Amino acid sequence: MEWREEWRPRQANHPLVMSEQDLEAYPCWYLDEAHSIPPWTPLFAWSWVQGNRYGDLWAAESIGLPRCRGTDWREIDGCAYMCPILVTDEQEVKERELRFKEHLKVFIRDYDRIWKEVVEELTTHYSKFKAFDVDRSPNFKLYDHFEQVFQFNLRVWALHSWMMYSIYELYAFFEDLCREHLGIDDTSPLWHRLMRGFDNKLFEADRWLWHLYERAVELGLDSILAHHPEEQVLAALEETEKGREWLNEKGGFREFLQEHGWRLPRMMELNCKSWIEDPSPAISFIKQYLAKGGDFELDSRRKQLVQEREEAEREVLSRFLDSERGWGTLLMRAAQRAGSFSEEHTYYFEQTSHSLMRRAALACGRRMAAESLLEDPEDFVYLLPDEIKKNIIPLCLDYRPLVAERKEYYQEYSRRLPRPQLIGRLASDPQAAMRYMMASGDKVMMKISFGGAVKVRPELGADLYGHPAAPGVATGPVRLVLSEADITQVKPGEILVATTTYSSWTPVFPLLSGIVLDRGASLSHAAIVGREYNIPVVVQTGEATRKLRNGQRVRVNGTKGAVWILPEG
Amino acid sequence: MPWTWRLHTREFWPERDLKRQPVWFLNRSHSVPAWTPLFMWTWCFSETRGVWYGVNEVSIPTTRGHFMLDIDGCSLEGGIRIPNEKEVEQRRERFRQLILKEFAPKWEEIWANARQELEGYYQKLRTFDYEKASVWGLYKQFKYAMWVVERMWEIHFYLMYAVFGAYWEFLDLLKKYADISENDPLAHKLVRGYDNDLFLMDRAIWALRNRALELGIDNVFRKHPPSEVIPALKETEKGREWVEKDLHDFLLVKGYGWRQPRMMEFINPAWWEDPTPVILFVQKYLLLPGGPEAVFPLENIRPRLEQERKAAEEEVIRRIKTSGYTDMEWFQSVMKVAQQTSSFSESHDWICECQCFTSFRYCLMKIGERLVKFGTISRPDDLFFFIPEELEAFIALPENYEVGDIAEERRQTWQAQKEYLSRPSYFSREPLKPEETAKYVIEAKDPVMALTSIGTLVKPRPETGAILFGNCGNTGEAEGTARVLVSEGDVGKVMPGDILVCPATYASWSTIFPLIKGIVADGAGIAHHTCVMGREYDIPVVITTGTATQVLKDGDQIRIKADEGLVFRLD
Repeated sequence: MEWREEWRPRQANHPLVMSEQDLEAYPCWYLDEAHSIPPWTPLFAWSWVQGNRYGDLWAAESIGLPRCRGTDWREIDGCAYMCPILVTDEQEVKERELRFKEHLKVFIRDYDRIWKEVVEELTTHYSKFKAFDVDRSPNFKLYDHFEQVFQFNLRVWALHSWMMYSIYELYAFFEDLCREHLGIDDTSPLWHRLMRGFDNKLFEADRWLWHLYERAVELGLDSILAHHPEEQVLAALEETEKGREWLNEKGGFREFLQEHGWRLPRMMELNCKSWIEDPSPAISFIKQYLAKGGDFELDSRRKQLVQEREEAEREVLSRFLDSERGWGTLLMRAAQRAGSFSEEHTYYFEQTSHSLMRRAALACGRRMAAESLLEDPEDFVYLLPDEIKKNIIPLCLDYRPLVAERKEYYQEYSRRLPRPQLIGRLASDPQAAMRYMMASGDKVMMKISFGGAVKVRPELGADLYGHPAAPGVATGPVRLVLSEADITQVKPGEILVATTTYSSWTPVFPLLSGIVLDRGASLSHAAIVGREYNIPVVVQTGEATRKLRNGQRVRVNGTKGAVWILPEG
Repeated sequence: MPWTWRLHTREFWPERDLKRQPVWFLNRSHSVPAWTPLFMWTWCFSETRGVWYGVNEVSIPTTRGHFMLDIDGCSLEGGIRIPNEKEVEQRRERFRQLILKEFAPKWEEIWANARQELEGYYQKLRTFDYEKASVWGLYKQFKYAMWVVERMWEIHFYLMYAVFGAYWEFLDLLKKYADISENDPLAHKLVRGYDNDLFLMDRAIWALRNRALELGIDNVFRKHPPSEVIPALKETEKGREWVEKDLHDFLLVKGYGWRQPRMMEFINPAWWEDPTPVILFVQKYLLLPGGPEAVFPLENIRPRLEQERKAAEEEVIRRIKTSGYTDMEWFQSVMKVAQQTSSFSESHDWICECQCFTSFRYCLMKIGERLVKFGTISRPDDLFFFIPEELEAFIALPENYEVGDIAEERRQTWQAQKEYLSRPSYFSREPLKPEETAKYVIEAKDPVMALTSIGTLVKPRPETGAILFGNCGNTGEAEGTARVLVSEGDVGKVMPGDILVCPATYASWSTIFPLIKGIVADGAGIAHHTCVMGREYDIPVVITTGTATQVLKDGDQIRIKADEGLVFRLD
């Protein structure tokens, strides 16, 4: 296989950087476009490839995923590439299938208990980490804290993959059943009706934010909110009695931050402040709600969605054989959980873990900066964990030249876009690459990142074709969101167009009238949340962010999976 | 695999690092000749972390821990004194309370618990089923082994800082109130005459010698080089009995085989894997006079040392009281903990490093054997040429890596680094004479760094006619043949009556002490094994000469005057 110049990482900082040898180990590597574009800082890229590789391998082995040993991951200059590791021995596949079935049986039956235990394990650790005083502890304790938080992130990914593999398998299994009996799959509006009308932990945050907006209006604070830039709002509120009440009362803004502030604007990065450090994004959402007004749409629509879902459930179950209906119902319940799990897991997994990693590493950065070993505490993102640990005990190495070099390199590679989607032997044959991916039976990859090939239907005369992910039709102006910074620009009634969406963006959903994505599938974040807000979502269009322009008026049909650009005026 | 191994080879960067730390010292007593990358990694991370943990948990008053950097496989170190005197006083008070309430009254219990805890971990490393384990199981076991090393260093320095911290405090009290300097024979007499775990093993080797005489097979030992003795023994019934019963019992029943030729390394086989060092020591012991009933030479020395110690204690207490010093509870407590230096110094080697590193090695070699089957590496010990992050990557998915050639490349670099022995003792911001560096060692009052690893360099005194100048590690004078030992492979050269010349002695060399008349070392401080062992065998020891192994050649006739730290050439 020829090694193309564009694949070659310019620098190798750790052992999981792509090499020529790695290319030979697998037929193909797939760019994780959903998470790693724009390219990451060195520290986050490190943590992603380490964590996901560990988590996928651990989970696939421990549950006996039949055709896949997990996913291998590599980094190339801030971007992640992945490849499923196939089980090729049919005898072994059979053995693993047995093991996997046993595992799923327990999972179908005891999902709620299992999820509760996982949440408990995570929150117990997080509480311990949050209670650690990063500023006043001696260095050797900070070293341990840093190490524990980063090591625990491996466990977080392990549990993450373990849950994902299990619940997505059930989701896909149920889809197979529906395909067989009803001839529908996960792009069908009936399927979408079946999968919505559920609450989750992230909606709690959105609802709380909405409540804070309503409360601000009640206290007559709307003009302060409307007339100050985000970063000055808090100071202005502190000056008035009502403002202080809004901030400090029970259920007030400060309590909201304690509960939901452990999130990073770009969930998959460590280089921007969490809401706890800088609550501007939360304030900006409240300002955006103020501009929109009205009711919290999720709740006003929920009742109807639940009703529709119950009808859909009856319809689907009626088509099953009598003998299948009992466990079919159990399976359907588990599949329905996939959506809410898919959403709320980020609160317990990525958001909190990454916020805590940032907090620990930033504390190290502050100590290094205080000793003039770093220019800026935030420069920790250019160091790798061993390097950070090395300089916490003892605090002695002047990293400024190293950081200057890495920073320059980071700036260079983060502009180097687009990155090749596929690299390796099958890079020139996307169909074959997709077949290899499908052979893994890895439902997580297929249901989140890769929706499979999209059929172009010229009879629709549309400008973009994708998978229908949430039903409905909407018309509105395009709002391109290429990075988390663009989120604050969103105005009520707009159609959000992005490569993918992050769960940290959910508060913006009440403002939107539709969503179009380059990537994704029926369990992508935008699809799930879009269904709950009852707005049309089209995923896996491939080129929406390149083809559409800000302000352009479009019609989105989430039932058919197509997008039309409307004539100007 | 493109990993460049950058941070962990030439870490020291003079333009940058001398700005913050005026002098960096080479840790000759532990890190010369150069270490393998994996050992170096554990030194830079787990060992350093352990130091900082120990210093702060024991509340050593004047420092928060020392710095370590890798320079081509050896360790460069430096200490910093806490500038804030108020903090120093707070730490001193806490240290005092710990000595009075914890370490002096409960030392035996604390040490027994530590031993039990650590030996439990080693058992888990040794009894794990490496053959049946899945690759995933191996990965987890590797992580566990790394954790064991980290925990070992934590316990190691917690105890070591207590003991050596008290020792330094004790030396200060002696100087201040009894006018006894650390080079004074009295100071040495106070801390010797104790038994330890390594002596138990040496006695067991002595018993193997006596058993060989008893079985009448001593000629086999005398006739063959060490590596050929076992095959030759196996040819006779008596010889087989010795190998299969006595030696086996020594190595695996008593468990003394979990020891290695160079303590601070993973790459050398443990004694049970390759018992040649044991054979060699038996051969050496056979050179000493006495039949099968002969007692271990130490037994002849010990009662006298114990008596001398008791007399010295009385003398010191008398002098202290005469000086008007009244805090006798403090003095007695400090003395009790300080006196543990002798037995702790040698016993902890066995409980901490020896068994930990041989067990760790066992775990890695077993994992290595599996990885060889995958073709990941060419030989099991290739693993010692990678750092943990790399090893985690390989062990989790061995079929995807082929890194034998990288290991080979690094092995060659390491071989070259091992040859580089004439390394400078220190790097300084301003040009400094050796004796001018002393304040940088002493300033931070880091007892482990100053009293064991680095020691204080002294001013040359050419007017004395000596060729080497150092410190007194144990009192006395001796004349004899210089025998230069740089690496673990050289032990065989030692003959009865030799004066040992070395960077510093390894714990695994304890066995040769009955043969030698004196020691001259390049490095080491007064609490290092070299001195502790010298004191227990009551032979003169000169330390921190800096260049003895360069200046002296095998066979040189020399005289040492340890009290003044001088070495003369006899010609």
